[in-house]
Amino acid sequence: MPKVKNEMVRCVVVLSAIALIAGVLLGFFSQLTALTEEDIRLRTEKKIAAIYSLSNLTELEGAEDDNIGGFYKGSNESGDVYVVIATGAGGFGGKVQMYVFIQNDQIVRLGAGSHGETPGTSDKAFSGTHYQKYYGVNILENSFALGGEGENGVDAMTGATYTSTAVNNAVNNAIAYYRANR
Amino acid sequence: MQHKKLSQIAVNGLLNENPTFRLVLGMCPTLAVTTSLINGVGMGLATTFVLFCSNLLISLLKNIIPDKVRIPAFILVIATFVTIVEMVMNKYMEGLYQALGLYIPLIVVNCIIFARAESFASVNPVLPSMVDGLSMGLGFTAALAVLGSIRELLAYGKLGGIVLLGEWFPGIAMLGTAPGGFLTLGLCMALFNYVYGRVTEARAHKKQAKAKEENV
Amino acid sequence: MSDKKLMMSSSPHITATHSTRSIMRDVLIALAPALAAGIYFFGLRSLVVVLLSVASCMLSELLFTALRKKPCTLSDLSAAVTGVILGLNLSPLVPFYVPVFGGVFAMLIVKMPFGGLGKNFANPAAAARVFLLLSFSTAMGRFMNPVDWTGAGAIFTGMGGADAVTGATPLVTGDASYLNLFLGNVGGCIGETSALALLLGGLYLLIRRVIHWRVPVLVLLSGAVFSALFAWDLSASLYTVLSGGFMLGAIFMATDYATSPNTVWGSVIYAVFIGFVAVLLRSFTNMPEGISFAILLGNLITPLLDKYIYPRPFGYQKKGKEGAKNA
Repeated sequence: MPKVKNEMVRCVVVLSAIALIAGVLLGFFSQLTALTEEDIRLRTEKKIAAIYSLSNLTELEGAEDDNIGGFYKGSNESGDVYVVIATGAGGFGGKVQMYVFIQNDQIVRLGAGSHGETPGTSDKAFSGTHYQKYYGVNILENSFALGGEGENGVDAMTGATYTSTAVNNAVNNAIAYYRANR
Repeated sequence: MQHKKLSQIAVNGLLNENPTFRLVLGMCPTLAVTTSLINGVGMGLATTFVLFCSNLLISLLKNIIPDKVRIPAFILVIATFVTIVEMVMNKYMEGLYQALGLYIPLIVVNCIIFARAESFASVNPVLPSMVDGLSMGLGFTAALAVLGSIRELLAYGKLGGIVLLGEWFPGIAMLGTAPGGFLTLGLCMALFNYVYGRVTEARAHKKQAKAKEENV
Repeated sequence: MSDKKLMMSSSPHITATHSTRSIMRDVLIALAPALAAGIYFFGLRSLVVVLLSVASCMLSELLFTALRKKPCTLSDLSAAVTGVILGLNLSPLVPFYVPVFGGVFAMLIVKMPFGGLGKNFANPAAAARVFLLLSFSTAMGRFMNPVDWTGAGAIFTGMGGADAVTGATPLVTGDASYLNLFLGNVGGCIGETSALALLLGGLYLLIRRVIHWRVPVLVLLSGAVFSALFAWDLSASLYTVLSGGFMLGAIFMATDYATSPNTVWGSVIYAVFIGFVAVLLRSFTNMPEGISFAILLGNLITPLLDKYIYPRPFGYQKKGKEGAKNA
């Protein structure tokens, strides 16, 4: 009996010891490799530049909003461009993050951020062809409606309807934030 | 299996017991990340690092860990190193981190690491275990590199992100997807084993001939 | 008494006249009307595509047998048949590398590594078509409307003569007339459009006893029934059967000896399954065409069907009769 008990105690001790050391190691590395605010900002700016390169990119102060991940302003030859990073619900894999570029109260560029959509199947909804439907429409008056009529109506891409819904919601969230905070 | 020489162990993981083409271990990441050369090599090197560290630590602890709890202990060790790799990659190699995505944490359950821990590191001294870890990892990396380059080149006309084949190349899109991965893996495995078989046969013949000469 | 020489041999002493080569020859003859219809509707480019496919298949098989140091099996014409069927499954406008890649894939990956004729696990033409669909989706999706023979250079449409008019196939538009579908005066793959030509070929094969009516008829029937069911509309059945690769697949690809079941009930299940899956894919997915995938899936379940459905042994009598005899 004591031998069995001894064995069990030894197992517990060894495992706990390893777990403790592992915990300490991980804690140390976690501190070491934590993403600073600076890191995050740099990454967002890199991402923005990858979609649409702008000069004088600065971060703007805006109201706190669960759906908005960032609000920036930059400029190109045609004037100021506002960048709103918004997420929209309704995607196949949850929320979809979109980078919305607004100039002269019209959307001039869209780009996808992080999302959980199926690669391949959802590509259609993240393509230039789909984004074109959003460009050039004055966004002060109306939001975009999936399947609606007129210039604010956007057709979902067949085979990527969930993704199209999420993209649309993200764009609308971006527009609402822009109207409220510009 | 007790190998005598360190050099033998070092070559083992690259050739006779190449994890991908001979042991057929670690198939899941192999099929998933070999869509490009850089992804393949990145995953391979991350796995090599984890293999090396886990083999080292487990070999150090082999007399302390009771047999009953060796599996949880191994997993604890492996998971720790994988998490460290993940955190480091997130901070310093973001592009690769995004590309490999979900497959980085999956290194924990990569059969290669667990198999070597169980069959080699837990019964061999520290230095051979370290060499074995490195060798298996590099063998895996080499295999991923080969598969990655073939698939990237034939599916997208690129290699390492650089466009090698111009517009005229249509690109066999299927090779960039899972079925294409299986096909490429199967064909490469067949080729590797064929060449390996021929070389070993030739070597065996030479040895036989030499032995006969010496006996005569 | 006897000038005749006595020959000694073991049974059987009477053999049928057909060989692999003669069967393949019959299939080629049966495919001729479909090819002719393809050339008639789409111009000489169709012939070039089919010839490229045949050449690619035959060269690949030659390459493999040479590399493996096995005797050359080209003379059994099976590579040619695969080449023609594959070619007929392609759009007349495909770039020329498409039939070449298809032929290589069909021979070097689907057929030869598994043992060659009779040992393939799936129909090489169907598998190659699926490979091409997945690899070159845009190129495979361009179809043309039938040639206007009154125009100049019509016979060289798409090859430097008249320009081919690209258009959606009846599978996508859903509104071709039954007469056009039957005769083949619609867009589509080279060999699949003319139901008339395919039926003529199928009839020839039935007469020559190369295929049994069971599989093609049941595939078409099950396709018709299920499409009417899914669309809740009887007219859908005729449209489904006449459009796309349904008939070509049912008559020439689903009946491949090596990849279809050996038993009666096995073939029945196989054929109904193929019809069902093809219509399922057409009705509920984005793909306009589902028959190649359906045939592939059917090929994959064939070993299962052969394993569990026992053929009746020669001379076997059902237990009831035997019991009555003994009692």
